[in-house]
Amino acid sequence: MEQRVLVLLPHPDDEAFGLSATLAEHVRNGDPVTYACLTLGEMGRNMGVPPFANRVTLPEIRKAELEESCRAIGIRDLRMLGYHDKTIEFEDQDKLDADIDALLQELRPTTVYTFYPGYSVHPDHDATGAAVVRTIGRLPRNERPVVLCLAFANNLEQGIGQPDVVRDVSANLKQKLASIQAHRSQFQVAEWVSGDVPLEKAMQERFGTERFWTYRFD
Amino acid sequence: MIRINREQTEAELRKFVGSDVYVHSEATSYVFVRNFKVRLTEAFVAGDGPSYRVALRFDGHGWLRMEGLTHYETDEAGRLLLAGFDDRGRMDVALHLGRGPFPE
Repeated sequence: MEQRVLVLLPHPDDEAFGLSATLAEHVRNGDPVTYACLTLGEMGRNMGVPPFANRVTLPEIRKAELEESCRAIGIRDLRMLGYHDKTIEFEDQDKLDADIDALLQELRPTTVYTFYPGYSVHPDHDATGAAVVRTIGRLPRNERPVVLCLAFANNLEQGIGQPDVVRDVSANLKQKLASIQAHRSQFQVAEWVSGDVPLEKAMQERFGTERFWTYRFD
Repeated sequence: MIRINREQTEAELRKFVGSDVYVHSEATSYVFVRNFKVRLTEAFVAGDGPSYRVALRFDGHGWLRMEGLTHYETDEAGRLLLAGFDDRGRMDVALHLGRGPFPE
């Protein structure tokens, strides 16, 4: 059965490590995928090595990187919502929720990917996940999409337990690597490859599995 | 100074909303700005402690956001002084708001 997929994440590159291969699999299956990215990561610290960006040029550069990452994954519907990096938790919740609700109404997704609120380390991650589950929680129960969350806090185990969706994504590592490499201002892929370990093997070990926690509304 | 209490500190900050405020903002070792004057439109304190994030919105087009704030006090001149200390008591960041300029 076709799934309609909506991805809601705050920063360009949030997709790369956590779920780019899963998204590539959706694309391969013919599922329509929309990626709504809330900010352009304007406050990022990394500017490339050696630095090729600065605080002024970084947003445009990261926007181009995000577009390249989406091409690598096969995502054709990318929305940039225009919020500012590091401010999501302070934004007007009604405005944020209305933006998310408009996407839900337009796209009627069956699966939504976001960050698990409270278990995703960065305030923008938590605030994005919180807005997503808040907005979806207002939908009638039978209209709610499945919400699959990324999480990586230290206190995961006692808080939300083990991920209940664990995917072997070996078949889509090529797209995943291309997605990661697209964000060249943020990641230096060469640094992960130590000496004699081939890139494919290193990728398989580090990134061959993607993990999600299904958000429980009740 | 006393430990930040999210609600109380936010309430103190919000007393400045709607007025012109002089701001001293500092990350020790790296940068300070003293006495830039803005009209504050929103003020927030976020976090679960012991260190908090503070964000100010001003003049309809600006943000000031700081992390690592741990302590605050209101001084006798009515200025709100926030600071972030590490576990050895050294100050890392400071954010001060006053209705008049801080001494140059």
